Amino acid sequence: MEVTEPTFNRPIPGEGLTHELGARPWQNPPQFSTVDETVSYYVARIGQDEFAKGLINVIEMGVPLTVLANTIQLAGVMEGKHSVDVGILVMPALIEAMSLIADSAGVEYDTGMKEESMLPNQLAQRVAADMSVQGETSAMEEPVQEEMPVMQEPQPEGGLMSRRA
Amino acid sequence: MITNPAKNLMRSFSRIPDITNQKQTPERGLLSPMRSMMRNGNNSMKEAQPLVDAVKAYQQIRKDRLEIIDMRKRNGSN
Repeated sequence: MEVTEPTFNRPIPGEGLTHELGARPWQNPPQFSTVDETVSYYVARIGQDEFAKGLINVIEMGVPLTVLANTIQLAGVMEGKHSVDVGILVMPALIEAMSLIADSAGVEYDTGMKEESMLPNQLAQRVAADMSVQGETSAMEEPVQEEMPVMQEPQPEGGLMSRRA
Repeated sequence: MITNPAKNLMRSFSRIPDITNQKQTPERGLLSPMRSMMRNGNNSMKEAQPLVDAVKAYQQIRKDRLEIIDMRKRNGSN
């Protein structure tokens, strides 16, 4: 039997919070403060050939555009390009820009706007059967104890304005 | 828990009518100078300005995309 030695070469809990305030990019004022600046930055960046090639590859893999837009704007926040609220406002424009690139490249893409598909009947029946079996076993293992109602004694009123007995 | 707000945002943005071609027309009437003065002092539009900018950018890119798709369809059909 092998005994694994404990490894102590790991970060201490809370070590990530030990940096000085302002040492991280997102703790400083953002590079772009307005929506227009941020949109033009992202549109110019998405329009670059290298970025567009990588983006089209990822889109072809079936990653939804909503997920991609969220990831890109989160990366922008982490790099200190813009604030969180500007990033969220920019997301629909980002999705449209990415779909524009996918359309121009002739690639089929998933926008991520479709409703989640319903479970197939067989799978739903199987889940229901599993749940019923689990319910029966748990009922057999743990008998439910009925709680007895606790009678509360009437407490005497102790306020200043209470009536005397 | 909503981890990705993009879906809801896209739905909301797609329901907003087109605001890219809105032009401010000069008002007519006796009270028009007073109205314009009152509007200049109103800060509600300034607060919503980032959202308006975001919707305008979204609608402009969407327009361009639809135009490109239309052009392709026309070229393909011809």
